[in-house]
Amino acid sequence: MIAPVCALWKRHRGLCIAFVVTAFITLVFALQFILSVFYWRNPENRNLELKGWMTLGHVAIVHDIPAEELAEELDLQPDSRSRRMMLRQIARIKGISLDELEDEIADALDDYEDEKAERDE
Amino acid sequence: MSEQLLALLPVYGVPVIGFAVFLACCGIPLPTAVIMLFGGSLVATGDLSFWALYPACVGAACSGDQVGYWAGRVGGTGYVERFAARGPKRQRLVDRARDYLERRGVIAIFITRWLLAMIGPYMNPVAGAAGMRWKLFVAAAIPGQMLYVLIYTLLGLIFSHNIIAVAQIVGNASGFLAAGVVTLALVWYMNRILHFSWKKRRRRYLKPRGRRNRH
Repeated sequence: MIAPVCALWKRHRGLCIAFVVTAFITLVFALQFILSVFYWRNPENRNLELKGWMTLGHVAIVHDIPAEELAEELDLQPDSRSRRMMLRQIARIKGISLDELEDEIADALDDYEDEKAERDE
Repeated sequence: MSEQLLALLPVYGVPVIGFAVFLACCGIPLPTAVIMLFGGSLVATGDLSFWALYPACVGAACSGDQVGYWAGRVGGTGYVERFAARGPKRQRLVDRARDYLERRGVIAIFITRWLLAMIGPYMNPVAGAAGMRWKLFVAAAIPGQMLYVLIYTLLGLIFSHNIIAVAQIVGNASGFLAAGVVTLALVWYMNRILHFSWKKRRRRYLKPRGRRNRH
């Protein structure tokens, strides 16, 4: 069993190296795939952090709230322009820091959920 | 970096997505899958129209394929000819590769458009240089790209709440498939060198080199 492998290594070294490298890459992808499935199955990880590059529309999609409502709660014009603004820009326009804006968005989400719960009752 | 790229999409929309897909199909490594998933999720929120996004992506992907194919055909054919002219063994190798492309090329191109999309862009110059017929190439590439774009935009549309998760999972799965197929091809080739026969369950060493081992 060993002898043919040794012979292969001597005569076709490039092929052997290529095989080891691709096998390794395959394993890495397989592990990452399994890990990512488990990571995203965990409900704790679904609460995505807010980041400066996210647009208001993106935040609205992720947190399941109509973009217009979110814009209104943040005292912005509920049109498509404000939906496409990044959080960074919104914070600059309002003259507050990103952390303060995050708090405002969290409050807005809570308000929206309360309203929705009331409407459902 | 791809997060910054994602931020551009809602602002500039279809042209940015199309351009990114085009560049990716020319062989520049960009996270096209994520971009198309995000495009699909923008369709779900009503920011983009599916009937603008889909044709734009298919068109961009197909033109990227053409760039790769013609680059291979214009730049690579002479190289292959010179390689083949260096000896009868190499001539046979090139002939066999061409024969293979003629018989299986359509399936190979079709599969590498969507299921093994990661190696797709690198197949195009190879197909061009090996002299695959253009009509066959187009007949395989266009349906493959239509399927590819459809799969990703639909995934983005359906899982618009959690595209980052879908992008990660799908990206890893397609990477696993592409690397796995390459590994299997190498195993097959190594087995050929080792002369492994499934029927006889017997292993000889290596292919005898010329007459050295004969008596």
